[in-house]
Amino acid sequence: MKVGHRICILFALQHIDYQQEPATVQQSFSTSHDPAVWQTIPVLEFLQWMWGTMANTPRFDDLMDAIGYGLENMHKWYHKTKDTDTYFICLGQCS
Amino acid sequence: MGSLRQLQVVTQVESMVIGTATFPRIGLVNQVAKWPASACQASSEPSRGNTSWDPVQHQVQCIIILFASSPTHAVPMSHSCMEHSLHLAVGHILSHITPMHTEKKHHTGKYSEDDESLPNVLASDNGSAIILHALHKLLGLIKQVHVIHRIYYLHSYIFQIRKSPQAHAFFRQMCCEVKDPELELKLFVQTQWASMFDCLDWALTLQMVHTYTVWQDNVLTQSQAVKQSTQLADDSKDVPPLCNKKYSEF
Repeated sequence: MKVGHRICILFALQHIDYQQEPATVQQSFSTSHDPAVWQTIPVLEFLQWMWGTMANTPRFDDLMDAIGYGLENMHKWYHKTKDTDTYFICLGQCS
Repeated sequence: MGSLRQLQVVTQVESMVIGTATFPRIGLVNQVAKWPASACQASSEPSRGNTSWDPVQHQVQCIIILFASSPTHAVPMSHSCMEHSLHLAVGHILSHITPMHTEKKHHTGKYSEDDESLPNVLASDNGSAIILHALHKLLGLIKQVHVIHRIYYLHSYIFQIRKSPQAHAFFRQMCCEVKDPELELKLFVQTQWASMFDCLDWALTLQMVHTYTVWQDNVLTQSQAVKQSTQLADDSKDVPPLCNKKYSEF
């Protein structure tokens, strides 16, 4: 197997994890039958925790900076949830 | 605006407990739009029927109807589209690891413009500090280019396969020979962040099981369609040759 080819494989395996989380989150937001606003805070908190953990894991050393940029942007949008009581009130729907 | 205690909402929720207080007929969340405020005022529990929620049309217009002392004092509230913000966050990550980002930076010369700490280092008039700073930036740049280089390998290989119908047919033939599913290799599209996930996921499905043997001994090594196609494509008469390149170089 070529070195470059193998590197690609390793890279794909490495990246699939951090890409899978937002894809799952996207699916939870895209439900077509029920409101999904109540999921906003828990989902964003989980994603931040997940990315934060990945950024501190040696396996993702190469991506640490990139994940940091994404995490920083996610923090900004997470704090936007304070602008309205909508998300907090909607949490009641999950109970 | 009514207080939370006076909330009356438009879902099936009849009661809810927040903290230590119980709010009867609680509130809310009419994500909307098929249930406009006027309809909500007319009925506290509108029939949803079989109409499905359209996330594209309605997700941004989430409205909370706060019923104050009477249903006629409904107050609509809007909020940000968090699904869109998710896309922006992922886009920030991808923008720092994709080849196009490098080209953009190269053309605009942003490496020096973005360096906010450089003026402070230069002002310190300390030779070792300047050298250390330069080394730090260089190491960061090498790491970034290294990641981009690896993505470029995969991206260019998939691009070459998809560009040529003959190479595409040959790849499918290889899939059959190694008993892999006949799936298409998906290309990463810069404007669709989720396509990166699809691209990697399908590439792994098609061949990358081989590498698992390095990490996990119990994983089968049976799907090597990509490997086989790269090794044989150059010698095959069915696949047109590449310009100044070989498939095996991928």
